[in-house]
Amino acid sequence: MISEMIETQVMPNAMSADLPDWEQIRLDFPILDQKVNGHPLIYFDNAATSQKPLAVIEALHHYYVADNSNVHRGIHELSNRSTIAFEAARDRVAKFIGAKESSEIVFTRGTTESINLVAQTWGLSHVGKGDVILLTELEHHSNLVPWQMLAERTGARLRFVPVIGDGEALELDALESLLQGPVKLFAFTHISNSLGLVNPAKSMIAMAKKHGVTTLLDAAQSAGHLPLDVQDLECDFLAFSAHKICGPTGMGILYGRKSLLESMPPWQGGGEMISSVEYESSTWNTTPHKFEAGTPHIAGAIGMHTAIDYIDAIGRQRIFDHDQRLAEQAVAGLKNAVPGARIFGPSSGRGGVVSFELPGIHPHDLVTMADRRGVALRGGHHCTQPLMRKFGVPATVRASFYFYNTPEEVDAFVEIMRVLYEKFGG
Amino acid sequence: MKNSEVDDTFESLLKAHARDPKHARRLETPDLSGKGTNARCGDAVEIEITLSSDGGSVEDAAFTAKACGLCVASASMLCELVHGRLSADLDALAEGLIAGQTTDTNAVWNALLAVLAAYPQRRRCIELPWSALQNALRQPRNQRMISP
Repeated sequence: MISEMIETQVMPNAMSADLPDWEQIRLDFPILDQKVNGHPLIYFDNAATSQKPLAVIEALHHYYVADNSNVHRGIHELSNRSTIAFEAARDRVAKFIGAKESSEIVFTRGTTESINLVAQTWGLSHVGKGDVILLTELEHHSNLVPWQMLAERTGARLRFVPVIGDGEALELDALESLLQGPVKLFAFTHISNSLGLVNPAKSMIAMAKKHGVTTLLDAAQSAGHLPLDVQDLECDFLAFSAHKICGPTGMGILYGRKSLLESMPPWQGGGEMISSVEYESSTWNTTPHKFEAGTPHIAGAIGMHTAIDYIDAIGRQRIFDHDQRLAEQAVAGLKNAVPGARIFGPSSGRGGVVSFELPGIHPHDLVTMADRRGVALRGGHHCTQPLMRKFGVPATVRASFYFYNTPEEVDAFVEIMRVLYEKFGG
Repeated sequence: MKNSEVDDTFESLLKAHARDPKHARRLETPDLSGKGTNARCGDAVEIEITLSSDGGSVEDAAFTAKACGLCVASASMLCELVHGRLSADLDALAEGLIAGQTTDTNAVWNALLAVLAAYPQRRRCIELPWSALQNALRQPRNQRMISP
């Protein structure tokens, strides 16, 4: 792999010891050291986007200062450097998720574009009238609307694995029967962005495989939080975004099993995705390039490479454990501070997301008042409107954590929720 | 407006209007009624108005809402502000308030504008009752109005 030739060691602060020093790691994120509305910033909106460590910012800076050029086909030195760095990022992603080959990694703008790519290429050539696309009631709009659009075009139908209670779990007992019949695809989220529920992806995929159903795993919330291995999971497609794993925005990944990618028609037409072009017709480049028309987000790929090195140096299992501890601390704190707080999601084993509602305070007002105290939360439907309707709420408040957040911040957040509840709730 | 003043303004608004809305009720025989919904957040407001016997001015105004505190505060203020106004002036009043251009020195309105300056992303919360009023003005009036 090219990446081995140029791999740089991007160690987070104080990572020489076996156990990460979370306080030292936090120093790699200068953005966190500021006051917002006169209060120390507490950034709990990590499920929307993560912050970027200095190493990533420096990688972007270095690229634009020293190497910027267009990739592929260039003969000059800068183009050569850009191409090597760009393809090294692809190699690194393949290693990050355990793909067999780098050619199984398609660069996109983000999870949403990755899923749309599958819907509009694989979907249009494999899904027909009367077929079923199986989803779950948890899905983010990005893993729902592309399939609605495909169903509308093809005459396929959508089916959903139900959610139990206030997001305790998926009703997996129903999965076996839902997978029967003309089901062509099972697309589902690994970790729910609005609940923090971690789905048992491996067994769900295994069940789908038993029925010959193609699978797509939305790893937007898990890629930077849990160790992932696509060969172990045996998923056919997997999608995630760089910006949620400490990388730049506008950069995403679609993993596809090679035989599937090869069988799919190209998506957008243009430069790079072709092999040869005549005035009347063209032939296509090989996988993954046939899905990457036009100049890609080169800096994005390079920044993502550094981000992956960074979080792998900490360790994704450690990150998950850390975030889970914070989430559990927040749940216990909220329950204690606000009697009657409605907390969504599983009672145990949650990822670093806590979605809740305080009696008598509308989520949007609560988020505004928390912001006045320096706490960045998210209030809304979290791009899961049907799920909110199912729960009978217009919105929830969501606190989502990452490895640079601290138990002290969780305590401060709980105290602010207590004060606001006492003032405005009830 | 200083940071702390925005906090105080917003929180006093929520306390005064959202937690204890003065006009949150149904009118028995409204002459005008209109709804406003925000599909993005699910907020819904209905404004009801009773006119004077000649239909020329607002006798009473009330609202019902399933909405955030900011929206409720705006609806409550709307009812306060339209009371006694000439019905012919209501549309222009709504236009002016939605555009943030008003000579009214209503304290609640000024507070809402201050919140809006700090949180432009919450403009729709404040505007919703006013677009409900505009919808009410576009609806045919009920029987009581037509037969004087």
